[in-house]
Amino acid sequence: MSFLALSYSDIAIAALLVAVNAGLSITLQLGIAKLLLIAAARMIVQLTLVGVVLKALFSMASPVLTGFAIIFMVLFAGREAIARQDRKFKGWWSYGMGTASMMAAGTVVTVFALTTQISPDPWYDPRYAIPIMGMILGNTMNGVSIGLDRMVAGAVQGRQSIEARLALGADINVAMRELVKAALRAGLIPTINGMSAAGLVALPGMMTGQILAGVDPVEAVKYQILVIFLIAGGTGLGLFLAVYLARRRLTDSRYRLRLDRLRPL
Amino acid sequence: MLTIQGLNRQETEVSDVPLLMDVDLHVAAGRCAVISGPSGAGKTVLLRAIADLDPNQGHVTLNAENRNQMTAPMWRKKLCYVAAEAAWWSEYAKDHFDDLTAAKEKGLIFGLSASLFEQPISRLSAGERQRLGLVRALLIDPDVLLLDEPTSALDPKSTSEIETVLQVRMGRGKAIVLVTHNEAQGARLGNDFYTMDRGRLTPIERPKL
Repeated sequence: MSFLALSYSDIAIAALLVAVNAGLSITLQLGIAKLLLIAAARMIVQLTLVGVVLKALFSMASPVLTGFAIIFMVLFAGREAIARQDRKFKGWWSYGMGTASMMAAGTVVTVFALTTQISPDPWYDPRYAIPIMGMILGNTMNGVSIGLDRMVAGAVQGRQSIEARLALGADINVAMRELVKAALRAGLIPTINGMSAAGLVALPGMMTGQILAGVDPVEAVKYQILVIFLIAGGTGLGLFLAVYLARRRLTDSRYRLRLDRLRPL
Repeated sequence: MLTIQGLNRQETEVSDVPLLMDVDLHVAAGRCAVISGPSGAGKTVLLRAIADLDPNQGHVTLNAENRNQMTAPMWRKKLCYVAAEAAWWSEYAKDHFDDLTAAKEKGLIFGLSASLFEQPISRLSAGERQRLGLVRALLIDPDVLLLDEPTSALDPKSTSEIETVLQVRMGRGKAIVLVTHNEAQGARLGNDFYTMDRGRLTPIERPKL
């Protein structure tokens, strides 16, 4: 296995491309040159910090610190998952549901992969645990976000038809069935699309990274397939949990639709 | 039959003004309580609260059985709320009925042809939808019908057909809580009369037409 290490001047040359973009923006008066440069600077700072933190974490291989890093990642993912939702639950419910679902799904799938398939020694080796959890979380976040958004928006839009069924004595599961199905489908579609198009439309990022790092393509593909399965499992589990929790919060023990638990627009 | 004591509903989010204030109502078997009042007075809120579709507080019993002692679906099958505008959850009319044969039979009484059940809801007129909504509730055969402007979209002939069905039901000991702006209809069906204003229910004399 061999890979071509990059020097800082190599990166500086690549940064010229962003500078060209910024130059174009100024020439064409698009007004995004500043945003572009800020975003590029943020990316450099964030990734450099991540590199330093990961290096430290890998060298210490502490289960406690690895756990903290993972909790930190989940808390951020929870924030992102609900950031762009139109309708949210009052209080911390939306954040709590998203975060709890991702935490549970990400942890279960990551531990499963580490203890049965990848089997590093020790099993919590941060060199494996953190990237695997990160890839699962990144995708689960999309599923959970779409699922929660669909559930809440669908309950608001479909209020009359849900209540019509409830008024006729329907069980809450029957009244909410179509909505739950739609939310689960919507949340799973990106995963299904991703699996269907893998390798045809774009080479998956992790596989590309391994190939650039000198890994045999066949081995890289095996790893990628494993990761896609983990992502699909994590997304499905996290989405299912989030939709279930949202369904619970949208209704009560007397089978009423509780839209009063949502923040007003 | 239906006894309501001290029914309250508060909507703290919008304002501190209660939507229902200490509502008391008794409807005996075979009788119809008619509730009138200005728009926004809380008539629909009251029907929904009786059906337990919104959070509310109060003592509500049917034949001396407290509603909290039965599950919500059980309660709503005994007291069925029929909204002024029926809502639908599927594209075709027939998909809203478990027993399509019984639905078609009932529909005929209201002038709804059997072929109408095969059509998409979007193709039906407001009056046809309103009658289908009633058929849906009548098939459950509840002890109490909570009707919100049940004939607002109907012509006089259909209105009269529906009133006849309701009177037959009352003859069988079933009760009705009727919210209506139609005073003549209230007088034809009603036994007890109430007016609602700002969440308060007050008994009134039978209106003289």
